[in-house]
Amino acid sequence: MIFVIICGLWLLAFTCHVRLQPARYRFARLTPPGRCMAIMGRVAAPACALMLAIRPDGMTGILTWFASLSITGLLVALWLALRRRTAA
Amino acid sequence: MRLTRNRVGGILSACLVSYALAHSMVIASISASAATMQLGQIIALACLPVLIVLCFSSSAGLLSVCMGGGLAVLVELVS
Amino acid sequence: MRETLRTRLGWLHAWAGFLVGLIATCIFMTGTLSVFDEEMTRWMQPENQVPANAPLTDTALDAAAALIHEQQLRGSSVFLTLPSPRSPTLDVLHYDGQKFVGTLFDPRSGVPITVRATMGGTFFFTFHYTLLAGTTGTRLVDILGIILLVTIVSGVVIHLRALVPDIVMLRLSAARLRGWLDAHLLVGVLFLPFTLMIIYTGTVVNANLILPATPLTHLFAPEKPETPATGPAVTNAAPPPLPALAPLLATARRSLHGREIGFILFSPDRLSLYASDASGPFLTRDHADFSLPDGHLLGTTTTPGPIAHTIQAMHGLHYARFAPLGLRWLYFLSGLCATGIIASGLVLFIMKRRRASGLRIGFRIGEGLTITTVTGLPISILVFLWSNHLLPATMTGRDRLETGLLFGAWILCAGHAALHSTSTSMNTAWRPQLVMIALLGGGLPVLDIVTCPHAVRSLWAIHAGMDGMGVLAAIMALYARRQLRG
Repeated sequence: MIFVIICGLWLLAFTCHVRLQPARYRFARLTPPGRCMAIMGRVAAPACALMLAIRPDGMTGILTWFASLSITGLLVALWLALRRRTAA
Repeated sequence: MRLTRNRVGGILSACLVSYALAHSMVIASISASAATMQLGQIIALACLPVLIVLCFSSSAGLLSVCMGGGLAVLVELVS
Repeated sequence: MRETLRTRLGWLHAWAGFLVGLIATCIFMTGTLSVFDEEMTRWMQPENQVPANAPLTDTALDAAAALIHEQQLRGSSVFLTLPSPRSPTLDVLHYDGQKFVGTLFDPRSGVPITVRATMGGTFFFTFHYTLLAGTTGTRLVDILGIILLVTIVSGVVIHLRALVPDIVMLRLSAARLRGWLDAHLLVGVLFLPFTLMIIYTGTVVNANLILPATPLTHLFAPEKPETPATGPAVTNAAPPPLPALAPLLATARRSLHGREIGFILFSPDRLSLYASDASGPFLTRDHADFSLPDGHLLGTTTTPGPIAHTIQAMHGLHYARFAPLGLRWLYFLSGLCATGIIASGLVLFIMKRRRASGLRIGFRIGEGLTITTVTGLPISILVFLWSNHLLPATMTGRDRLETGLLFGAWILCAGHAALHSTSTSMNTAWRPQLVMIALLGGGLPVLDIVTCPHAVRSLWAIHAGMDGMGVLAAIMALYARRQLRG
């Protein structure tokens, strides 16, 4: 369950990251307050995920945190690629 | 062809100099205890790839690592 | 052409990556499979149907102790591994020069279990770190590890500017080369922490082989002939009978701060109970010693200190024996992706040079070797699994035959790739090998159900996992084949 929450937080972080790079990922530009929120989300979500991951066990937590980063990133990239292909 | 030859020569010398420097890190850590020697190995192994890339990437990098490596080999030979 | 840092490091990344990648793919693939080595052995020995967490009884311990004493009287050096959730049998083992073999006991009844001879998952583990070439192989694997780290560092420097912004960039609709490059970069960057950790800790495990604590001058000095040890004279007295093991286990657990016991070593005057590798992330060799024959506690040996803990943590991180099932799957998945990074790098190297050097003999050999590695190794692994289920269980020398068939299949794949290297399109070599993976992988569940239905029913999780991996390999191979057609 914790793993799913950590993945969710990474998903949030990646979403913020993608919205902060509108030209690269072909998204609409964010308004200044939106940008501010996205920057905060990009920093806070991984930090929260790390806190959550290392709470039960330090080493396992760090491994889980990195693994969830990789897997969620991969899924986000696949979703973006499919979205781009559909649009093209 | 000449470019490739230079690059192959560069990577070989980078490996040699970096290895000498990394090895000297291990040797320097022997004197204290077995545990410190293992710490020396851990640090040397982490530094070795970075040193190789540094040496290979620019002449300044090669020169600085060369100086360090040469000095280390000299110290090893003398001691 | 003016040489820049990027072009220079690009050359290093490409050539070091390709030359090392051919073997590194095999090391990573077998290492990934080793994450589930015990489970693989259980899949390959369907006769062993002891459920996980079966209770260990005194009867079983006594039966094992009796066999150990019998073996000791015969002069054989044996050890005892205790049941764990991953390997629930009580095993009396010895090393035969290749692998650990011996008798497996049911921990509930103490009845010996007759299992088929096989290298099992141990084969992948041994291949992973020795390439089946002993210490020389281990040294080579270590050197390859360092070169891989060089490749990674150079790759990071080349890609540094786009490392974070492009972290989730994948353009499937772009040109094929661009798509492959994106896939290589995407997986490479996302799995960078795991890849760095696993390669670095792997080299640290055998650091002595590449960075020995011997001055360089001594390395070139002629070796002195070994003098025989002047220790106490070896007595030919019969080894004393073993005390009851159950009370010793309880005492050892208390002495080792509640950690479970993994295995017991026997020497003429004492027995040593070692903490299980699964008892924590620090892989230690902490043990409690007991005197023989009375079973009196002699003391415990632990390695304290921050440096020792650092090394134990590095070993623990690499071996992942502490990892619970979920984390083990994450290791497996990350290992698969790390293998994918190297394999995609090999394919990229070939694709980039096809137009300029496609007709050169060197290019043909390179592509042939890439095919042998990327598709030939999975085929031979699947042949290994198929032969395990198809060869008669009681056949003598079946373990050697299994390994022989693996290498036979691999050589055939290499020959097939080499034969096709003369044709203008190498797709004719990729395609049949991908179909072979699909057939062997897709057929694995059918083979498993047909040849050992009882084991599939009683240990469904292990069999579903293994068969599922076969099906996954088949799907990936079919997808890759479809992409080749386009």
